[in-house]
Amino acid sequence: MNIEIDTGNGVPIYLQIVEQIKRNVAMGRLRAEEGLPSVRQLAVDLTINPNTVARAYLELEHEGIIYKRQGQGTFVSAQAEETSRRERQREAAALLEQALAEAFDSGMTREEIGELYRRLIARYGKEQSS
Amino acid sequence: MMRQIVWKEWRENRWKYGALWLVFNLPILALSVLLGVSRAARTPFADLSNQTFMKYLPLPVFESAAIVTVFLFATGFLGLTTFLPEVEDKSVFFLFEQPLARWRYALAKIANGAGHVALAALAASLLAPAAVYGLMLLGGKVTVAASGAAFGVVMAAALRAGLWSALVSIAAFAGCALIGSVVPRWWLATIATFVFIICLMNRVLSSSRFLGAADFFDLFASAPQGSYNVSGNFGTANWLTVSGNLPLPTDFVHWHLLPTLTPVALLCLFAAAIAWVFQRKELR
Amino acid sequence: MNAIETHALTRVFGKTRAVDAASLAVPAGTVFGLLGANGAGKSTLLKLLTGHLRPTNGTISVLGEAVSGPRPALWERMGYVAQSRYLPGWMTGIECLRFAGALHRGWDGGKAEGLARRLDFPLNARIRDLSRGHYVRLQIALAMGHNPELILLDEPTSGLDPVGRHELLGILVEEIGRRGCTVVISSHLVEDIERLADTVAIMEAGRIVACGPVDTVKSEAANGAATVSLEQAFFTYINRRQS
Repeated sequence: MNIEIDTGNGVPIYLQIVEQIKRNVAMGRLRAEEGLPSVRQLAVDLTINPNTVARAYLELEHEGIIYKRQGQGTFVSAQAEETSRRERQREAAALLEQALAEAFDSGMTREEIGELYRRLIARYGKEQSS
Repeated sequence: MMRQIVWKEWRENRWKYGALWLVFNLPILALSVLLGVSRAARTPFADLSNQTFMKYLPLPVFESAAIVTVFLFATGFLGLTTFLPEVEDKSVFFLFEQPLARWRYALAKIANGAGHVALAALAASLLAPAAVYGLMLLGGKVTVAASGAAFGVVMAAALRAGLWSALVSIAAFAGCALIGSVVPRWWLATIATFVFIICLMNRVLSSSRFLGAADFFDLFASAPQGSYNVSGNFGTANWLTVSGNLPLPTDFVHWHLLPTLTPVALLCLFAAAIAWVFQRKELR
Repeated sequence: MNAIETHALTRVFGKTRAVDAASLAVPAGTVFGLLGANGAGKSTLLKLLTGHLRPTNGTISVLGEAVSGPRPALWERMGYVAQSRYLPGWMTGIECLRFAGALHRGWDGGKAEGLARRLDFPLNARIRDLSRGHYVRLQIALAMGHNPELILLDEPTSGLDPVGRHELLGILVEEIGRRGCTVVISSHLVEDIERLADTVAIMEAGRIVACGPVDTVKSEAANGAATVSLEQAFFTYINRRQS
């Protein structure tokens, strides 16, 4: 699991951890029932305050992405993948909407946007099926 | 705690303690070298007999006199150089960061230094007459059977003189240790040390009470009546004048009590001052 | 329970107010960051907390004890990494550790020496010959060897290369995670504070211009706008103060 913290972008560190773990789950890099590093270990790996990691894990627990097994550690939950994927799709939909709004705002016509859309679908759809 | 301080002081200052021992024993060392080198110097020793040895044997007791006069500078500078560097480079604050009261550390440091000084003074005071007696015995004509008792008397005087010169040396050490703790600059501290030692030396010599208790004048206590006046001149400047009356007062207070208490009182005063200085030190 | 509390703490040097009416509280078991430019008063504040300096005004409480000057007993429970260099130059690292160890009741010799060895530290070199990086590692070993409840560090990463800095912060994180001690760390590097601190106080010209949890301090500087980095928040507070 590779997480990178960017201290300059203003996003609270614990949120960055939450986001990146959810991303890893959604992309299949973290599978259900896979073990996560302990709070202390992740804190050392990332060189950040253990409280911050604890806060991130707490948040993930609340969202049902991870759970704690008594005495054995922290694990990715079974429904995490589904939850993360749905959330990621919601984010993607929002991004699409934002992109469309930007495209209209920049002066592109409906036809230009439609043409661009068809080309992109063709390109990315091909990658998905292959 | 004391073990740590003793270890630290030894590792930090062992060459300085060695230098002090060297200085204190210079007269005997010089004498040994002289005897080794010059036949003319050896002659008086070879000529000594059981009847004549007392001409020379009491002289080494003046080692103590040297310790409380010229060698006092060495003692003073030992005090200065065992306290000033630590204060100047702020490494004293490393000691202040230990769970150890600052005044305890101050007293331990002083006690350790005083111990070294007292030991050196006492040893040198005893070594001088013992070494000279040894050389006399080597000459062949002086025997232990005949001269042993007199040697015992001289050694007793040397012991008393040694103890007292140790006390005065400790007071000098502590005074210069205080200078080292308080004065932040080397050149200023050196001048202050010089001035302090000269004043102390002057006080020691000019007080007939000190002379009385010095006990190495024990041997001259039966001298004829009269007054004496001795001056030390450096170029045209008179920097030391000593005068008094013979014979010397030999009552308990003047002979023993006051002269013992005075250096002890000075030591306590200086030690308290150093403890107070350490307590007030700030890391800026 | 607060590990440290100060009320209107002031320290004056001649005409300069090095620390000016500083009031703060450090909850036990948290990391408190002191952020400010050089000369802002961070070092002075830390020295006041350790008892190396006496306050001109105000009160200090450290681990439940009132502090207004030297407090030798507190040194059993706290460790301090100073910014200036004053360990005895003639000692070697191992001698220094053993010396301190013999004077502390709760010293963990194995830990201190193990730490020094892990840091790849030349234990037998004289302290005067140590590089900046090695010197600060010795300071760390000395500060943590007796398992203190409170560790105060004054710009520990200054003068270190990126690798050394990373290692040092890593050791701190490990110590915090393992022992839950309270840490007060000052730095002029925003990233150090952002990574480690639960609470941050921003100092400027002796005054504390902002104090609180890192996220709160950042969001208050943002004033409803988009998220800001701690660095941007820092400049916002400084400019507010100066205007």
